[in-house]
Amino acid sequence: MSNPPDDSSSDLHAGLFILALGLVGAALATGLPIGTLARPGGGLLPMIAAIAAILAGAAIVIARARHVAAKTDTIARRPIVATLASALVFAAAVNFADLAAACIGAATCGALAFRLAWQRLVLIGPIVGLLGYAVFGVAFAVR
Amino acid sequence: MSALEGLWLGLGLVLQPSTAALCFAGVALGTLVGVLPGIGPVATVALLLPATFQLDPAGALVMLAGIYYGAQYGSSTAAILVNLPGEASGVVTALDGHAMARRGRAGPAIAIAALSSFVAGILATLAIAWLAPLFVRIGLAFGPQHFALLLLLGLSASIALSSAMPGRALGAAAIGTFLGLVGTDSGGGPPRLAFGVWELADGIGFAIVAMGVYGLGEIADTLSRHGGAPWRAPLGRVRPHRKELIACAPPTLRATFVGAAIGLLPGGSTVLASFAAFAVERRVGRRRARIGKGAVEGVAASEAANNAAAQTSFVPLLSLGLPGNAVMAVMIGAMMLQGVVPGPLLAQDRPELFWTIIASMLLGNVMLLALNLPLAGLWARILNIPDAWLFPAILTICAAGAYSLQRSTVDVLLLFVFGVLGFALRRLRFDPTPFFVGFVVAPMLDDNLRRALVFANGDVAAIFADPGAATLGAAVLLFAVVAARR
Repeated sequence: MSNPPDDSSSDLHAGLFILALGLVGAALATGLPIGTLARPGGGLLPMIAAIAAILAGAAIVIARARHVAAKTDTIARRPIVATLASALVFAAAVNFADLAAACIGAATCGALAFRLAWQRLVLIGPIVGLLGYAVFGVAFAVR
Repeated sequence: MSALEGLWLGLGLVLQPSTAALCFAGVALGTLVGVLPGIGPVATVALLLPATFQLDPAGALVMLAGIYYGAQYGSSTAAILVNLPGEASGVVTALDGHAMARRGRAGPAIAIAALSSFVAGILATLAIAWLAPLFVRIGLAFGPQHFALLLLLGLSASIALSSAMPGRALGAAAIGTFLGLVGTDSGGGPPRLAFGVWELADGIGFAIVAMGVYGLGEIADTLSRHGGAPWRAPLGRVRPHRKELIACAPPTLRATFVGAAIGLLPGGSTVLASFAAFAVERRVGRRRARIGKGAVEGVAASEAANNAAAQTSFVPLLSLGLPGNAVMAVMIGAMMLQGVVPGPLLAQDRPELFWTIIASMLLGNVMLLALNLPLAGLWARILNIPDAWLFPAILTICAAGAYSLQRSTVDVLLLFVFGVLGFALRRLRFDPTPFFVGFVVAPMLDDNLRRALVFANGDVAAIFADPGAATLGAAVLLFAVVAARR
């Protein structure tokens, strides 16, 4: 049984992504002691993992070069930015204000993933945020 | 202790009101996350880890286990009504279940899903009680070389059985393994790859990685592909016809066997179990031509298989300390946080804990039947919660949950990093499971591999000298060949 080849244009990105991570990993692992087979050091497995990533990334890139690229599906950027940024908003708010503000900030940022009227946005953010604060700040006593 | 004595001991403990209440909380929460798209059992189990610190180990693990198999029940509701499974294993159920819903038979499809899951759950739990002690006896004879090979077997199986192409699966597993090695060096050296950040000295938390990859990353990916509200079938009358019940009995039993066997394999997932049972029914079922086009037998087979696999995947975890899938990997983290070392010594040193977890599955399945049959309408109504309210709530829980672990913003920033990584993995068509299995097994693999090499004085061939290690080595090789041939 064999699957169809990876022929989408995302293959090149996928291969380069793993290759880059593997190279960074290998660079970091060179600073660790590899040791010998009889006395292996803390850098042995990190180096093996980094080399495996480099080989996998290179294999994907080479396989991609042998096939015609297909169209990739389109994506909406707004939800991606809003979803991922909600963690950054939380981190900033909890650092400079408090947990309640952080929960409200994260919920409001998350709600920005949807195209909402501002009246709904200012309703969802605080209500959801305060519910989150009730769970973590009040029930679990997180400060 | 025989299986029957063990089950009796476990039942006595799990029926204590506090443990039974936690079992109920777990299965109810599992059903909820199974119904709701966007947050699966991996992220939910990870999210609840901090909340279980105050509980006793048995109660905490019973609750977390309940979330996993509860999610298998819940995923069928969304799969049948809106063709949008809340959990990946519901994909196969959607094929026949949603086709039934379009013919006005959503209620009976949900009832059949619950009943077949129940039968499979009970039979699979009895299989666990019988098989786990056998696995424990094998595990007790293991040395570091066997454990290193066993962990490699789990990792290679997650690559070979991944939904992604082998190159992608290997790359994801390698990156996960590398990141899993951040922190304490088992050889006693200074923390590895921690860059002077004290929060990284003990390694990156399981919960942060699970919430980032399976929470933030999955939500970002889901919303970026969202194409408007799906059509939602009315629930209607829930009770199935007697003819339908009779027709479902053989597929349920066949699928229970298939699912239970796949759950035992390292890398064997509930999705794989559902697909395998579906394939079996298309080959041997009495009305095989109708499977996939709205046949009640297809719903029964898919649901029985995924629930049986969810239950039996606890066997390698409890008896060998081997995580077969991403949820079991988080469960290992949960056990370690509770001071419980998963592996063959668990049944010997903590028999009450070992058997309580197994017996809780009997109770949990009875609770799930009660929750999913009479309350089918309630779960169906939960699907009406607008995404604009649901997803911000999940994101807030993820961020606050990450912060609550150590009261550290570094953990929230790591959540962001792993959210980006999880999103990138999905967009680039990587399967996150090998990544997460690699991340979890890495410290144990490092420790056992180094000890095995020291014992063998650096002679790699000596590691494979005894028949057990040679068999495990051959199994690793077999999975590598399977992966290379895909």
